[in-house]
Amino acid sequence: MQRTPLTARLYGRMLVGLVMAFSFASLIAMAFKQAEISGGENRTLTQLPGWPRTLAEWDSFPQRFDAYVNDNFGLRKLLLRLNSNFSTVLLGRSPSDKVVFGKDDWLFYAGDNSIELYRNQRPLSTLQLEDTRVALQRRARAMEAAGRPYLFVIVPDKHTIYPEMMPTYMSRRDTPSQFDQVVAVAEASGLPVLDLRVALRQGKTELPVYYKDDSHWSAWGAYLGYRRIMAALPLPDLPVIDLEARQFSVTSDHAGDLARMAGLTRRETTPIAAPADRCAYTVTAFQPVVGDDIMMRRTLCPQAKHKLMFVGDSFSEGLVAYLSRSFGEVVYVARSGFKPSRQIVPLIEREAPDLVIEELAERHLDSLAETVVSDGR
Amino acid sequence: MLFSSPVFLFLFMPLLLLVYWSVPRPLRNSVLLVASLVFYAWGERFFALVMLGSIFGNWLLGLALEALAEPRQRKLVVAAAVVLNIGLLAVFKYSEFLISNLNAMFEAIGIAPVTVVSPHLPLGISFFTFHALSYVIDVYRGVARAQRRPVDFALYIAFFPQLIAGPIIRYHDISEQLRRRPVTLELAASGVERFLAGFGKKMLLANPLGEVADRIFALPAADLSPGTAWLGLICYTLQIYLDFSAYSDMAIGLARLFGFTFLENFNYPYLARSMQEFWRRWHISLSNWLRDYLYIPLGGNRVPPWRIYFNLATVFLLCGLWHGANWTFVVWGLIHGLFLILERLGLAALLARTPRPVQHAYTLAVVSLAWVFFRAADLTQAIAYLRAMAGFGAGWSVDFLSEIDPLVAICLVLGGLASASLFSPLTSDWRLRRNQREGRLDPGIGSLQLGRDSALMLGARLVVLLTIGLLAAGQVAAGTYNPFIYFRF
Repeated sequence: MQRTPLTARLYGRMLVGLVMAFSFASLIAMAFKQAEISGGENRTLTQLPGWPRTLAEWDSFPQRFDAYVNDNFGLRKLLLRLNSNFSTVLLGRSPSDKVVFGKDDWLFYAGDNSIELYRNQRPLSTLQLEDTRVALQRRARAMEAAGRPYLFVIVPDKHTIYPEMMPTYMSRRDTPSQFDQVVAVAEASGLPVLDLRVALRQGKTELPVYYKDDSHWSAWGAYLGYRRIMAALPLPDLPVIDLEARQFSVTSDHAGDLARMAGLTRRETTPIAAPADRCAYTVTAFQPVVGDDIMMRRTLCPQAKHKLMFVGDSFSEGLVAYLSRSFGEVVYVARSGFKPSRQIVPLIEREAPDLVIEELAERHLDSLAETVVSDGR
Repeated sequence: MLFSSPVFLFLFMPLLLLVYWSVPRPLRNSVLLVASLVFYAWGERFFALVMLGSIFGNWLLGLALEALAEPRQRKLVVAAAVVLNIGLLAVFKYSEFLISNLNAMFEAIGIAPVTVVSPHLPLGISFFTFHALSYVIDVYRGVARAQRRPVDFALYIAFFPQLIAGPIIRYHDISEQLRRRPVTLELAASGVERFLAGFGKKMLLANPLGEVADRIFALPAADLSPGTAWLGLICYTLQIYLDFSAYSDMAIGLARLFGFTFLENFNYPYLARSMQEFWRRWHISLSNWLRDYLYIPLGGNRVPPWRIYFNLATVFLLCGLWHGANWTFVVWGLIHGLFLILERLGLAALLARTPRPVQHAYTLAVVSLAWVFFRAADLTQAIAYLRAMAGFGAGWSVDFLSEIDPLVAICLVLGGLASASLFSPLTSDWRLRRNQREGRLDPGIGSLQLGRDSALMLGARLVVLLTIGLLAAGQVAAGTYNPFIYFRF
């Protein structure tokens, strides 16, 4: 029998040995892994499921164990970094299906159907539009009945303000966006809806109104939003912070959510302003109020008056610095997506604010219609 | 459990290899059997009992066949085995299809419909049933002896690399290996080569192309421009080959790590120049099975021409149905059967006189257009999709370009090259057989020698394969990456 040459034996041993070594290293690393939170993913990692005791637990055990292994297998971080570097450096493509690489290092959020929204591929149906109108009207009427001014603010998605930074290969339909549809319905029905698109498009000529690495607006963008909101409020004599673009001169490092999702470790230098301190407001920590998905916190500014209830999503973070200095008390209700009136209105009544502002990101506009079913038609 | 899942790659396989190579040789089949049952139960849980029942029943039938000497009695037993196995498949896989079609007929003639609860379709039932049939028929024909050891028999049916998606191993091809299988470094190394090559093919090429195909096939027909529809079909044509052959590569590779040598399942089918050649290259284990256990018993080529055509139509109708209980699969099977008949009627001779590119174009056109039926949810969608390809959808435009980002473009090119055998130097057995013709697999795995390749080739292969493995594992990890955009309030 012919003996295998040395090079072939060496090759075989190295190939089998290295693959096995990697596999066993992963197994050993998993045995010693202890992390419970993934900072990069902004979530708690799945923990080892307990030994199943019932038939139903046996049935779901593989699924739960898979979820545990998916989050905790050894060398996961290393492989994620490798994948991220390969995708970004060699392919110029985001390693995450939730992030799209635009031009000039701009990142865009692709989750929550954002890309279909950008391409106008998800128009609201006639029924959805009617339900959207009903949902807004229901909320506005409840506030009107209690004598509280109400304003509904739509914060545009980043791609709506910076479409020129989206990848060229992503074509768009020349049809109205969901944003256009909702604004048109609100205008036709006389509903208090505030559209921030014009203010932000004008403002972006002076400074960036959105971060490159984040899905949210920058300090300048939030300030422009704040000014439009304040201008639209019916209460007289509200103290309004007055800043100009040149005052946004302090540089700050910002770790963007999109960069994090794409596994990029870079930080973005962004201009911020230190508003003149008309009050040193205090902030409480978020507390859950309804389940895990509605939280509340408040700010107090003794030098100002009026109580504002601000129901919003993560875009409200950028507004805190400004709104908290203009109102005696701001109650922030944090939630993502529009919530049914049966969940929100009792909270408002309990707090009895002087006025209510509700903010919603453009990508969640379709959640308005969904609440009509849960609130009852 | 998928081969490309973290639980398989980073827990199941290393633990199994550790245990398998630690226990004495006589216990190794038992270890593999227990691991295979865990692998199956991971996805199927309580319906694993159906497979266990099938194993036990067929084992008893095999023993009965060997114990009986009377031809009539043997015939009765083998007939019972066929009825039981096909019956099992019919109940779980086809009862809903049969009843919905019956109800459509009843509705037409005014009879009240029959209401039956749709049974759950156990994973891999089409494969383990064909394995079981292969066993009882081989024992009946005397091609193989009945397997007295229940562990070995159960391992033949349930061996995890082939359990969920094949290849379909005929019993007589593997019966010896169940007892004796020398594991050499060359076999193990070639197993790792095949696994890494298949793993990369699936994660790095088939999956991205599949995403494009899924997106396009999900579009309403009215929104489909011809360009988009053709792009969707091209992506799907590449995806189905790359994905399915990748699974076979991984299965073949894994089996070699335990000393088993499976027959090849794919041999660059898109290089075929006729439909006859295509079926010598595509899902070889299924076409072998259908030939040995269906076409030949029906008379094969030893009957008058009209019977051959009838047999071909029957075999391919059943082949279509085997893939799924839906009229789309029936039509897919019949298209293949029809072109095989046409080739026998003279089309093959006509094609032989045309230039090679014409022969390739003909085969690719038939195969890929038939894939529309295979991929579509129903016949209505398939027809609408074909109409969109012909320009009766959304009208002519170049909107398909928006689907082709740099990654998709790279995958289309690399997928095409992989389908055309240009990556055969990646594994020693692909390279060994790179000059084969007419879809014939030659030489066999027994002649595999890593030493045939130069040191430079082996070094390059080592680097490329390990890189592919790492990148594919990176893709697996990326699949588990689930960032949350909103703040933890």
